[in-house]
Order: sequence, then C-alpha cells, then structure tokens
Amino acid sequence: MIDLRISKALEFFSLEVDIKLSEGSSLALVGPSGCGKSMTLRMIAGLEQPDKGYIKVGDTVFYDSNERIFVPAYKRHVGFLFQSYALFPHLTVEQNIAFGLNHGPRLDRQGKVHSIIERLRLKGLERSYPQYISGGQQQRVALARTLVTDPELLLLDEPFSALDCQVKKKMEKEVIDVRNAYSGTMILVTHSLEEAFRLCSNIAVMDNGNIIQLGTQDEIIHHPANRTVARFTGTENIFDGTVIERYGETALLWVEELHVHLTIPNTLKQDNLSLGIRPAQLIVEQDHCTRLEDEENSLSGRIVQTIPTPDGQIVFIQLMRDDSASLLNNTSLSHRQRDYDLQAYVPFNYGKSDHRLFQPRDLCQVNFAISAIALWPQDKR
Amino acid sequence: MMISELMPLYLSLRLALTATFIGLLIGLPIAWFLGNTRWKGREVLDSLISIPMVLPPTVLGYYLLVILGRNSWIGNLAESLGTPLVFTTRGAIIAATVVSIPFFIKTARAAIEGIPSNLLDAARVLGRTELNIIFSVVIPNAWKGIAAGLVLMFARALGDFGTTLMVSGGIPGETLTMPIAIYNAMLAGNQAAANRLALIMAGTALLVLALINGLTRQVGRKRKR
Repeated sequence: MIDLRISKALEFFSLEVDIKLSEGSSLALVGPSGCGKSMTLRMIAGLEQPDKGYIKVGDTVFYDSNERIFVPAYKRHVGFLFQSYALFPHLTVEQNIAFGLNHGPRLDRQGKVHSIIERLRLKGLERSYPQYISGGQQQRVALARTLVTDPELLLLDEPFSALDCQVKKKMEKEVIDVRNAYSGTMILVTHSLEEAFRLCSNIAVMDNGNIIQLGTQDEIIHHPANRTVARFTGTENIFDGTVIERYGETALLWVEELHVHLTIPNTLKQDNLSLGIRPAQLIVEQDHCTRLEDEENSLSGRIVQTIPTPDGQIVFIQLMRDDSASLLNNTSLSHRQRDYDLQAYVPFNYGKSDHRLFQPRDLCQVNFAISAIALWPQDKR
Repeated sequence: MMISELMPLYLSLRLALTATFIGLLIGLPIAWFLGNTRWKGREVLDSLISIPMVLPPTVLGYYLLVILGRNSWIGNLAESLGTPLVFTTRGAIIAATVVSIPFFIKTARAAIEGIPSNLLDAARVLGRTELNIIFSVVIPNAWKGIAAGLVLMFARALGDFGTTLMVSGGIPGETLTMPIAIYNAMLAGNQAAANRLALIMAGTALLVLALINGLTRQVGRKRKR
C-alpha cells in the first residue's frame, strides 16, 4: 500500500501529487516531458525532498512534513531503475549487481548475486565492465542490481527510452516477466502511453505538476476525464456539443462544428458536453456499400487525405454538410484550422478479396456505435 | 658536477612534494565541496582560489610577505612560537603551496563534477551513505583527474621562482631552489652550471610526467580485460 500526498514548488509550476495504490499493483505515470513525473518518482525514492505532505509505503512513513520525518534515500530500501542505467563504470557486472547487498553473510550474498545473474541471462559477463557490453545487457544488469536487493517498491524512470525499438520490446518482456514473478508494487514513469499500457494496469496522466486522471487502462482510454487526457491518449476526434433531447438510455446531441445530430449515451446530466471518438472506433466504408440501418450514428463524407501505416491506413474525412457547399466553403472553412472533420484508422482486411485502399476524393460512409463515444463535461472557458 | 648543485634539486623536490601533500589535504575537501554544493557563493570561492593563477608571482609573493611577515599578526604569532615564516623553508613551502594549489583544486573539481549525478543517486538508493559514496563511487571514478591535478600542482610548485624568491629569498640549503639557483648561476656568468641545472630540471619534469602517464595507461588497460 502506497499513500502519498506531496507538493513541491518547481521553477515553472508547483507539483501537487496525490496517489493511493494498493500493494502489488502497478502504476504508470505518463505525461509530456517536464510535467513533474520524474520529480515525483525521485521524491518517493528520497532523492528529492518535497516541501509539504507525506509519503507512506506499507507501514513505513518515508516522509511527513507535519512530524518532520524525512527518511534519507539510503534507508528507504526502494528499487530504482534509472533512464541511463547508472551502472558504476569502475566495477564489473558482478560487482555492480552486488553493490546494494551490504548486509548478511558473504556466502548468502554471493548466492543471491549468482541466482539473479542466471535469471537475467548475464552468465559469462560477470567479469566484464559495463561500458563493454550492449545496451540491452546494461539494462539487464541495472535490473539485476535493483532486484537483488528485494525491494518492496520498484520505481522505473523511463527505463527503455535509450534502447532501440527491438531491444526495447525484448526488455519490456523481461520486465513483464520480472513483474509477474515479483510481488512488490511498481511505479513506472514514461512519456509513452504504449509503454505504460504494456507494463502497468493503472495509469495516471500528469500535466503541469498535477495528476489529471488516475484510473485503469480502460478508464483512461475510454472514459477520459477531460480534453487533455483525451488528447494525450490518442482520442483524435473531439467536439463540443449541446444536448437537445434525452430519451432514457440515449440522448441527442447537436454538434455545431459538424452540423450534425449524434446519438450519445445519456450518462451525464450536463447539457454542454464534449465528446471524443478514437480513430480506430470509426467504421469507414466505401459509399457504394449499403448503409447500416441499425447504427445510430451514420455520417456521409469525403476522404481528403490518407496516410499509410504498416497494418492499415489513417484517413481524414470531411463530412457532407446538410447546408449548401458554398456556405461551407465561405464560412466554416475560413475559421477552421484544419480541412477535415474526422480522423479514422482503417485496418487492412487481410484475406478479404474485395479489399481496396481509400484514395483522396473517395466518398465514404462513417458509422460508429454509441458505446464508442467518450463523454465529459465541457471545459469552462 | 658539484655536490652543491644537487642541494637545490633536493630542496626543490622536497618543497614541491611537501606542498603537493599539503595541497591534497586542503584542496581535496575544497574541490569536493565546490563540486557538490548548490551554495550560491561557490563561484566566488572558486574565483578567490584562482587568484594565485592570475596574479604575477612577484605580486603574490609580495602580498604573502606582507601577510606572513613580522608586521602582521600571523607572522608575529609564528615568531613568538619560535617558527618564523619568512626567509625559511617553511615560508618557501607556503609560497609553493599557495602558488600551485589552484591547479589541483580546479582539476579535481572538474573530475568530481564529471561523475554523473545518477551514479551518486544509484548508490544512494542502493543503501550507501554519503560518506561511503565518497570512497566507493567518487574516488574510484575521479582519481585519475585528482592524480592529474596533483601532477600539475607538483610541476607548478617545482618550477616556482618569483613567489618563493619574494617570500623566502635564496638562502643556500634552506630556500635556494632550482629555479633560483639557475638564475643565480646565470647572473654570475656561469652558463655551464646554469645549463646543467636547467637540464636536470627539464629531465625531472619529463620523468614525472612519464611516470604518471604510464601509471594511468596501465590501469586503463587492466580495466578493458
């Protein structure tokens, strides 16, 4: 169990973080660089001192400004994996791994070091110096050095950002394996949502020193709390709208920007709402396909641009307005900064014979389920 | 070669070695402090320490003479303890130390600052105290820079002329160091002696450099294996 509420004045903003995490769970702190996520991790480890608040891990109080408690880093027994590994260049791989084992009988310590060397496939490298082994091996040594001390809490500060793509995937698997075997709590700091997703079940999105949403993977992706979280998590289609009618389960929303009525879940009592739809949740079909009658939300449009990806394509769609085209050209486009309304991800239909790529100017039909819509109250302007 | 010509060499080496040793004792803590503190006045302190590098040696010697001489309270105190400073070997050692210590502090500070801060952080989270970290991380990683600083300081102390002359004169067997002996030989028109002394100095300096070079290279090779 981790319970912390800390604040610290930084150069450009003040950091205010409040986290409660049950034992054995994993949390990713994600956010743009400079949002205070690494600082938060460093304060948990005792490498930085907060201005105010408390940090409790299990039954131990690491920090409490009211009781003037500050346990220094060397007494916290927390595992920390650094971005650039921070291996000691003057020590061999084996000596690096043994660095954190200062107590207990010598034979015991040797046994621990050897078993972790086996487990992380570092055999044969014991006498090498860190600067002469590969990046992936260095990261495994750093992981071994941390895990050999058996920490209750494992903190990872962007541990994979220095690795190339293939090694990164391997290392992530390594960490997942370690995680499954390891019973302690883990906090990961990363700027990559994908990485957070692969490694942690809980995600906290940070911005300007605050956690703007903390939730499960599903909550963060499908129920963003506000526009910032939605944008950060890849919800590319975000619009403001007004509820004009409510019927039990669903409601009707007027979206001025698109000139359309959309059917949305009737879950929020506010009338001014923002809605978000992820590109992969839009179903885009060629115009000649029969219109799906059972879909509540179906819009006609024209492709304006396509971007190929390895397993599909990203298409940008301009919707057909009910009003005349001249009106659209003169007013709507002039004050809008982009020339498309929707961004959709269309995966390849591997194995299907009628498969065809979208081209610019194609007419299309866009459908999406009510359940695909994320809603949150409009930001106050 | 006369025995009397070896005396200045012995004296010079003794002075320079003593000065370097004192420099290590005083300079390393200062370099450590400058390299680690976030104190705002650290650059001011650094500048103060660097003054001997920019002052003309004679000017430095003059000020040292004023500070250590009979008319100052330091000089007075030393005198009353029976250990006068000016025009003694002690004075020469002080002069050589003051002249050369900035070279050591600057180099050692750079070496200590060159240690990535995350190495220190890693040692902290792995349970090492600050004092332990100095011996287990800082010195093993910075010792080459520290050693290089000591060599520089030794070379500078060995070659000092102006400051030593001002503070302690050139008393044979006490403060007559090699550079002063060379100057005296030239002044007396004894170019042969000056030549010999200069050669000895140059040879000694090169020998010291070669020794340190060889030492660091050997360590470097050992590590690669």
